[in-house]
Amino acid sequence: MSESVMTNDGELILDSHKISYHMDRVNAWEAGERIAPVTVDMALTRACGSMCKFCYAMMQEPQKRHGIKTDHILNLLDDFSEVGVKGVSLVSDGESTLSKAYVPFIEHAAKNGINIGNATNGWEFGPEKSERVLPHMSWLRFTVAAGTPGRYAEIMYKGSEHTEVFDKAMKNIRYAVHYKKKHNLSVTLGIQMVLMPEFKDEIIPFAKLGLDLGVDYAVIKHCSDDENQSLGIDYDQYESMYSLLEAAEAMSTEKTKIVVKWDKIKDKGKPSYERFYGPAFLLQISGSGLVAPSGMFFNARYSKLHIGDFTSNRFIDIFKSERYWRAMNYIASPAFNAQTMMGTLPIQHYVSTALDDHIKGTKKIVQAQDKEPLHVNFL
Amino acid sequence: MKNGINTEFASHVSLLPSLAWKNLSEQDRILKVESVMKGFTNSEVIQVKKAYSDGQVTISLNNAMNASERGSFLLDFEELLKDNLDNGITIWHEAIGDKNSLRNLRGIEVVSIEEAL
Repeated sequence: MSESVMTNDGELILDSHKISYHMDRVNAWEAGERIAPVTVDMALTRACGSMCKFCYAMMQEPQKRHGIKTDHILNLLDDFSEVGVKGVSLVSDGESTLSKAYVPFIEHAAKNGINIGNATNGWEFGPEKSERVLPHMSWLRFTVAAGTPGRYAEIMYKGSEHTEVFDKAMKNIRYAVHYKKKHNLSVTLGIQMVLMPEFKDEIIPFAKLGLDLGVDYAVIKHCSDDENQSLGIDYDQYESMYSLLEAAEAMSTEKTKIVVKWDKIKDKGKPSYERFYGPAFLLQISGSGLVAPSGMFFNARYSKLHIGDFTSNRFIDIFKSERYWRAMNYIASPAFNAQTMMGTLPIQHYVSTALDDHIKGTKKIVQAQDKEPLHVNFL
Repeated sequence: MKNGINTEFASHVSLLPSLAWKNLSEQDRILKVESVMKGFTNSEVIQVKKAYSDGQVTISLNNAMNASERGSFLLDFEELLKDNLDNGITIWHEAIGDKNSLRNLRGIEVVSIEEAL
């Protein structure tokens, strides 16, 4: 059974997957049928006002950026509905709140019955935006790199003296928490720290900040790096932080859960699988408009896995094209090795591990019998 | 209809180049790739940059193919090299660095295969 924490809103799974709630797709996939992704992770732009030290978007530049306009995203959402996408997370490789299409996207998704989640630095997430989008969202997660203003500004912006960005983010997070409570909204609010070994002094302050803000959870995860270690992450150093991470988790209260993504941290950057099955269930789209199986392949380096661009072609046509399935089959073939040919532990990691274990017979995925957890359509 | 994803390779060993490929000099490996490339459609747009002993071949495309063209084009090219030279060859395009001016202030560069080796 999946690892989970119980929040006031329900069971929350952050350090595992929810694929066992989508057995219809698993069975169809295993039978060799063409399945639609349950979840799409995407961005509405590649732009961002932050300059986070841990940002994987620095490694995700494709050949060309296409401007994503409102009519593109309305068509995209209609195509998602048509093929059977159930949840869309606005995370990927850009700060989607900067896009003019951001609010229309969320409103249109809600109209189409698609669940929406979003990760943001929160700098442009003022009261007006909160009020427009929070009622339509399943979850909203603020990236908070540290628990203290100076370190936050140093890691996410130009330097420790620029604490105005911390102040702005905290003000907006507090408003979102207040608005959720006032209107009894179902949206889950969280904050996330992307842990690089040199940020370990901020683990406990981050947990304290989560409690102070009154968010539903504060999660700490590993930092992804590409296969050539462009960010220089030393995964062996995470082990020395285990006691600090355990101490942070122990600070959880009934209102705010402190969660550590142990599974990814303990994998030390190397997955158990060589074939990469997750993208068929959890597809990623770049804020440049590029459709590729995973964000791991957005950079021009992985051009052979580039499938299309949804600002030039309708997504439904890309999804139905032979090149979509050719790319998906390539990463499921012996020509591809997930351990050496892509960055570490992608968003599809939990799902890919489960599917690989399932196909190898080491751990079969079985239909979940219990009540659906929160955010079941975000794998 | 069974035209989705083939899962029969889950436990297969990932392809690696032969000893013969590994024992060639880089110059010879590049020459071999260029020789096979001559028979490939639209080959004039491809420039071979590096050809490593571990089977990785770095190329660049001289003209800007759109996203719906370049994937299939390069997979076709890789298949040709696998069929004619060595099954362990894998094609990568030259990496492109982040165009975000703010993030660029961090000074992070996408590390090339050569730098990583």
